[in-house]
Amino acid sequence: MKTITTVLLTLAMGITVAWARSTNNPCIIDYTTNICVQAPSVALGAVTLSNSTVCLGSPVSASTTMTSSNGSYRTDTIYTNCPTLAGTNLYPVAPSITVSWVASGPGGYTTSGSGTNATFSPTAAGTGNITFYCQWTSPPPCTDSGTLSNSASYTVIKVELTPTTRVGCPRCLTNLLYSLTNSFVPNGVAWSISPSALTGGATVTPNGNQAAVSAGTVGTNYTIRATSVDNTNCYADANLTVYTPGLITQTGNSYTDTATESHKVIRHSFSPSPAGDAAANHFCFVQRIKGSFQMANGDYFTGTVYGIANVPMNFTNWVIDSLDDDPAYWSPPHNAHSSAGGNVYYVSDDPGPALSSETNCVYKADFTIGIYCALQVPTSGCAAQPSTGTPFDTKTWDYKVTVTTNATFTHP
Amino acid sequence: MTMLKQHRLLLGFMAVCIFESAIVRQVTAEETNAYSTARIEALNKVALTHRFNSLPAQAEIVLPSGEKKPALKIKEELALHGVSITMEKGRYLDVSQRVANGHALNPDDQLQVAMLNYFHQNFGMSQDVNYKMPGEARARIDDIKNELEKRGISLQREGDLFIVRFVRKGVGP
Repeated sequence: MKTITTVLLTLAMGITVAWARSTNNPCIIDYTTNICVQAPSVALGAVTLSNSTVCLGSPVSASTTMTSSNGSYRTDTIYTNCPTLAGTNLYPVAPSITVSWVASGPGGYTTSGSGTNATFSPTAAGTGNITFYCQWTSPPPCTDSGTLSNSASYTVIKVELTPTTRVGCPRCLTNLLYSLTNSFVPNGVAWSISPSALTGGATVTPNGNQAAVSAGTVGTNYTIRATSVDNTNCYADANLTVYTPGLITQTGNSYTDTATESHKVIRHSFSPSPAGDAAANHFCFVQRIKGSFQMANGDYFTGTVYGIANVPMNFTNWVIDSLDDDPAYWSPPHNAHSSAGGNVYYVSDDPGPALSSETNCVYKADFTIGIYCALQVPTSGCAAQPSTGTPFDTKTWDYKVTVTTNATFTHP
Repeated sequence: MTMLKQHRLLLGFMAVCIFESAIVRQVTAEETNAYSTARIEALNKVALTHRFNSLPAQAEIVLPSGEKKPALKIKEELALHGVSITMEKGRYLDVSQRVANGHALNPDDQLQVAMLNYFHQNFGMSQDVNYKMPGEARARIDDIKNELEKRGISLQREGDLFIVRFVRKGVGP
């Protein structure tokens, strides 16, 4: 019985297939299925930096490209009674793509964003990296995913100079050295000074991350610049102001004799560069006296010199002629002088005066007055006749009066 | 009367007056400035023999802070702060208001007047019968007076002080 049943079923199936394959027996769809024909493709281009070396404070701009192409699928039909029918139409498979970036830099700096363009401003100098990421996924039937990345490095330049400001004159501006501090300049800096074409002007001598500056003899405002070799937009400036007093002008070196007195009101003036009080106040006069104011009886008049009162006015050597303990003439204050306007500063003297009543008295004193860097002239200790440095200029003059027995004045 | 005799007479007068001033200490508005008060009090602590405008320049003055300075330096500092001083009854006093003579001086004018009095008091007054006033002091005094005149400030002598006589309005730099 069992054998008969098997034979009958086999026979029935054979009849069925034969029937199905006949044009009179259509295929019956069992199901359809999507078949990935072509997987999508995604590519991330190289990172491009608009400037791989930037100055601290300037933004870094980077970009990349992302390209993608859709994949494709077809739909196959599975029959219950026919062979599978492969679809002939292709349908697109669009990947899902996300582009992002992460920047890192010196000093623990990190920042991030999305897209193929990045702009960020690192907060410290040094080197850093920017990485673009492309994450993509592909839907069924081309199911897939992946992450692409590309990086580039950048450099942040910082130039900082010390000192930032120096003010002085050729006497006190010695051993001037400018140095890079807190700087990041992988290939160093180029040093320059402006103005640079002055005869006798300040000059700069580069020595790696330092530069020696000679103040020169021209009074003006200079700018010293250290410029990064890697990016010439990155530089630091320092100011150098050189004061010079110019030459002393002497006026009034003549006697004005009246019936009773013989005066010489003499003035010494200067015109500093750059013009103005700031430059003038950097200098002071120091005057020295040599000679005597002698009375008819052979004794000497007394006066106040080098800060000591009632000193006999008889000096065989040059001594500092100052009212107080400060060697600077016209003090206080230490750098005192009067302004005549028009950038002219002066001090005056009016020694004596010899009086017509002082018959047979002899005033015979020589003076030398110089203009000095006030910083190099000590502010006290005048009586010890300290060194007052090297003058920029000096003038000499004298006060020489003899009071005749006729109570008149002669100037030998 | 020679200056030397004047000097001795004044010292005698001071010896009498100092006792009085020790009993009756006048505190005026002129002495309220802490800076000047400290220095003037320091000047007044110097021994009596030094209590004269010709106080030896190198006489050492001890400030309340303990800092020691020559007497002339203290006087200079006061002048550079626009403080005019003088001595009355054996004591130094801040007379800045008195020299202003009721005029409202700006700080620089006040400074110039104080400097004028400093130079005059310390270098312009004969200390020795044969003393010659230094040409530098004479020139500075003349220079300051001329400058103040340009600013419309006229001065007059009153004892050892230059005080403002009048101020012409609308004059000056």
